[in-house]
Amino acid sequence: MRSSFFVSIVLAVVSVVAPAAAKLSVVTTTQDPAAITRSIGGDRVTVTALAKGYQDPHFLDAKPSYMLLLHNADLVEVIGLDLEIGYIGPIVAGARNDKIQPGQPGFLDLSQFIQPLEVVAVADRSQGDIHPNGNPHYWLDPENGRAMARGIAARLAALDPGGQALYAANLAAFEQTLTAKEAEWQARMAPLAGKPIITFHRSWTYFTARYHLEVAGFVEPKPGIPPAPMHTLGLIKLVRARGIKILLVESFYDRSAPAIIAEKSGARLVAVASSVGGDAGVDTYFDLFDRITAELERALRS
Amino acid sequence: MRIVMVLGASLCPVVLHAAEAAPAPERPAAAEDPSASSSAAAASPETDAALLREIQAATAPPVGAAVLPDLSATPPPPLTTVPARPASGIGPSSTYNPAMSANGLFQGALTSNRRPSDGGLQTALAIQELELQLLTHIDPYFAANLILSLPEGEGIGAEEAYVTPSAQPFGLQARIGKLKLPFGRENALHTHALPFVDKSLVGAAVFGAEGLAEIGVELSWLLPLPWYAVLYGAVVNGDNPVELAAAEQYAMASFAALKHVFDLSDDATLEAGASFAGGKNANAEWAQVGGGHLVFKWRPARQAAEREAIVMVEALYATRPNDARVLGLYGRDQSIGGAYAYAQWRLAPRWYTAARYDYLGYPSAARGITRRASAILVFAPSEFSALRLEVRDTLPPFHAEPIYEGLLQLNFTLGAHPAHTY
Repeated sequence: MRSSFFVSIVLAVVSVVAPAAAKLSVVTTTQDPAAITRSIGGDRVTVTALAKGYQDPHFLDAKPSYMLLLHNADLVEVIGLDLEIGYIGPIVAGARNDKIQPGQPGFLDLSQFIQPLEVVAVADRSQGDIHPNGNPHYWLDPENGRAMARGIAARLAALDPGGQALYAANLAAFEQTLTAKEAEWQARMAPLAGKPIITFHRSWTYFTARYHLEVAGFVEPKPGIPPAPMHTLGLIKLVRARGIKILLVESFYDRSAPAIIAEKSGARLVAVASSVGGDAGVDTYFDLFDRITAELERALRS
Repeated sequence: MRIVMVLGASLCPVVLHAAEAAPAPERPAAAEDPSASSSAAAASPETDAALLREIQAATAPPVGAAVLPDLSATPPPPLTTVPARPASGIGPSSTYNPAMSANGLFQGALTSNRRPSDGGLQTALAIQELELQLLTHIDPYFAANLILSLPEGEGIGAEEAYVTPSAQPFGLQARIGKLKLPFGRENALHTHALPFVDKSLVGAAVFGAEGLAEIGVELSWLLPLPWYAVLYGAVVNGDNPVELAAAEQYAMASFAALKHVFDLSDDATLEAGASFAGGKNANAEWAQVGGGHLVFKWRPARQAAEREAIVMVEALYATRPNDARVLGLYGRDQSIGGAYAYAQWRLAPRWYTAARYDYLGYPSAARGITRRASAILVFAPSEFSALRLEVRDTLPPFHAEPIYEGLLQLNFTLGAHPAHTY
């Protein structure tokens, strides 16, 4: 018994020290770049995301197991714009992996590929939990997903030149599917263009900009600040006065305030995943927009 | 249990008062949101009041919201899609300034102890500590972290000041300078990050109020195991005034620790650690400290902002041969040891509570045993501020009556404070 225990420990150590396969090991902070990287990298990469799709990406801890994942990574992809500010510093430093330190080819800040919205020139914390360099929820614009995919493909090719052809082909396929899907999503969202909605957090800025929805108010009085009753009352009045039909909430938020706003105003509460893996059946980047646009279309029809 | 009840009772008036002091609901809708129409503004005050009561009943937790001012009347920050351009020119540049942050701890204390000894808690309002942190890369080869503290708001000193080489070959990481050594769980924490208003009894007794913060070189190694395991070793000057402080030249002290963290599930972790430090003490005798700790953390991914539980226990034992400074008992065994255990529970996104039991005992029967039970209730409006109310009852050696104490602490952070370790 003791010898078998010893052997299993040795095997476990060996498996960590000398991984058998030469696949590129990619760690992403959230699920959406992970889904895109899987589409581009195919069999040449292994991809692990730190946050679950059903998890609020603002509230991750700097867990030591994340350091272990990063220690063995060839590439770390972050959303950036301070989305990961609560944990990325300690886990990158604690990973003891020179390849993935900021400035190295193994560290990829995906925000460099998009045009950030809501950049705040003069920021202080009286404004709530804002992101001065821009709103970080940019993956919710499918065109930003295209930009992320191109950036990821280029970095994978730089780190793994042998896979360049595969990455280029997979990128082309991804973009082709995205273009086709965008036409579907655009058709679904067209009836909502110009219509006001309420959202919980400032998570939907890029999505609403892409499909021309007006965000008339937020359940949070300021980013990251829970709603006080007086603010909720003001929102109910606003929804009634403007005839707002939709209250869009990420599935991980507490629904007590949105629920009473919906109940008292007649608006439809749409609780939906804002990341891949956030709901059952949302397994790819395309699934995510399929689900969001379908739920919004259903809410408008009802 | 008695303490928790006292705590709850003492808070109730505050919460009730805050609820009563909430803004009157008859404020016009236009004042709350400029985009609201005039028809909404014309709603009757009675209707609004009834609706507000329903909202308060339906949204949880109402207590947290009630004690904060309503922010809805404040306009949102100005937004632009154009990134701000940094200032340019030939004058001094702030581009390479380090990330700076400051922490402040304001404290009010009340004690039943009529004759507090030196360092004991006194009934007073005080600045517990101010702390300033500067953090940046020096060049491509080194990063630096400078943490200056002003205990009680006076007399600036270096709490930590160390340089970290950028290169981390073979899972190794070095720190050079003045370091709060990762001895056990509590020692490396700065005062503002302690789970309670101040340190555990055994932590303060073994290493003193400032903890084991030594000038030296630390090397740590991420062990090649399937779980997170780090081995630490350090050679330090041995200046700790309580445990070490050798008068001899070249009398270095040593430190070693091993820490494991296991993911029990996506939501739960278990940390286990053992630590050791040894060196010559003020009487040129070999003094040593050993410790162990266990921490269980649970934070469900689906409710990371709402739910969290931490259970922790830490024990320390220190030998102090022939230490003449304590009670003049030269020649007798001055070894000390003790433990503490605490449990913390997040009640709601901005509220948590915790209870701790401290035991500080001595092998020498002449020194007696100190016991303490503490409870704390914390309201943290954001990650950058917290109001903490702690009550505790302490039974020191040879006392017939316990000492009852209450502490109220305002804990705040300014600037770019780095993320805390797990």
